[in-house]
Amino acid sequence: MANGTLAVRNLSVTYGRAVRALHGVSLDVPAGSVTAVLGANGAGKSTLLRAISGTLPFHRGAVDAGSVRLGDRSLIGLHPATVVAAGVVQVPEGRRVFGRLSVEENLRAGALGAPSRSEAAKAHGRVLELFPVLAERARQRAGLLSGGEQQMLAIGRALMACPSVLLLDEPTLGLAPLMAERIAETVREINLQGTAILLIEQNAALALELSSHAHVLEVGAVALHGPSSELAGSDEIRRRYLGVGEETDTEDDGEDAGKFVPPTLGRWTG
Amino acid sequence: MSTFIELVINGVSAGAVYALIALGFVIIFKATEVVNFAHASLLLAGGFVTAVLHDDIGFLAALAAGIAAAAVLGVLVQVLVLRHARVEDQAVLAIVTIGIDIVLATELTRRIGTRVLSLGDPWQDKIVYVGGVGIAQTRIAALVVAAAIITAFLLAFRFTSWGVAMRAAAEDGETASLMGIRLSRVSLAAWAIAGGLAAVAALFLTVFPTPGLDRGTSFAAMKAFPAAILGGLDSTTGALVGGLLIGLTESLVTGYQGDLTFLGRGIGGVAPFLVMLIVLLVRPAGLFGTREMSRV
Repeated sequence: MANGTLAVRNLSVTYGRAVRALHGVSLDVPAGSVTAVLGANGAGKSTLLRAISGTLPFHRGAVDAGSVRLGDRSLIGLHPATVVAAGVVQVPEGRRVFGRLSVEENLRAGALGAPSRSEAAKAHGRVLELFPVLAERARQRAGLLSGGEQQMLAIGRALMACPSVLLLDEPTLGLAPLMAERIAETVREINLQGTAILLIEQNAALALELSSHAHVLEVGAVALHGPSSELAGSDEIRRRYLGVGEETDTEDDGEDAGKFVPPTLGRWTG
Repeated sequence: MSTFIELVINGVSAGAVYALIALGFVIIFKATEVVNFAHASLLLAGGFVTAVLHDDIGFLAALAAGIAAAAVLGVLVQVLVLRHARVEDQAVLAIVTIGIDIVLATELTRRIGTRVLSLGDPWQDKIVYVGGVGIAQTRIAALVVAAAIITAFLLAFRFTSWGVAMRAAAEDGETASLMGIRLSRVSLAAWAIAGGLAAVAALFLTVFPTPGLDRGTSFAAMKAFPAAILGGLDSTTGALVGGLLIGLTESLVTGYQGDLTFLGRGIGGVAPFLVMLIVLLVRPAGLFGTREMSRV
């Protein structure tokens, strides 16, 4: 599975030739690591994954500049299926399981991107070991699973293609805290088995806990990056994404000064 | 009573043939979201090739050539025309297929002229009597062949990797491509299969009791449109049920036309469309359709 680093350099993406969604974004996902990308809605997180996976054309988007490479192979302009074959597989936001197909058929669909039948069979065993509930529900329609189970299925489906880099787009979105924690454990487990992970999350506490490095995207550019443990300790991150710290003495809330600032609830910190 | 049984068997047989056409129509719609109005021309082209070749290379080889020709023609429509049409709205592509249909139908009608071509089938006008009920051999052949093809298709659709890819792509194209499924190949396969099915249907639309392939054959093929639509455009089950419903309606209404003279003559040809209208009034998405019809 050693395939080298997934390296994004100065990536710029525009939608419909008009809306610039990413400006000069650079980041690395070294083999076997977990890298996190944080950011609010609309910061460009999903755009980054679409650019890597080659699905921008579905959204009338295009890469204007920059490069995405896996090892020494460029992924820009490749068909999504070729990117999958290169070993980079995405779990899309909102799970997007095939609701009218059975659980087992969803896994088969994932295996269509596998390098060979024997690899797919091995991956199948690994996935069912990771998510025993998928074996129990094999014949059920995927649309009838709970949100957490659908997320497991979406991850399992992606693993069927034997990726060397797994792209996860907000895997804990809309899940109960307990289920989010289970998904987090699974992500850790998948990483321990040797798959590098690029994790997109709004749940900053969880993402920083799982990752070794993190990047913060703001309006399409990397605002901050560094080792996750450092970022977790920085005031900026604590204030903006972890919801702790004082509201009064921050440097950029000039226009908010004097307004009533509602108390922020602390995010769940697992 | 024996008339009734005869009519039912003929109706089911015709229905199976309509189902073949409707099935092709439905898989093209599922794979590409295009309503293919050129389907009748694909059918006519397949039938024409079979009719022209059967004298020289024998019936089975000619039929195979006809199937291949219609499949290739379907692929060409997708590759040369639809793939390049950079439009957002699938309704525009449906209009494009009307244009393709006009071009193909005009050329084929020119070649056929006023002739009525035989497809050289081995059954001719033989009739089998079972317990006092006379059934044309061609009708039995149509029923058996169509049922076998439909069964094989449905099994493949359900159990093979191709079927899984096809259904995944139909449900969510973007996610399917994230799984390594090539949507362009899925659409090509859909057009090829639909063309092949149409060519087989062409054979059974033109054998006894129909005199043969003529320029009106594509009108007969048009009756599969209500079959696909009343079943639900995106449902393979719907295509089968719709096909049978249309076949039976047509056969029974035509058979009992004498008792229905208050509706005027020729009601048999209109009945399939009446059934479609009634079904759509009750279920706008068709009997088994899931998506809203605004998609069309």
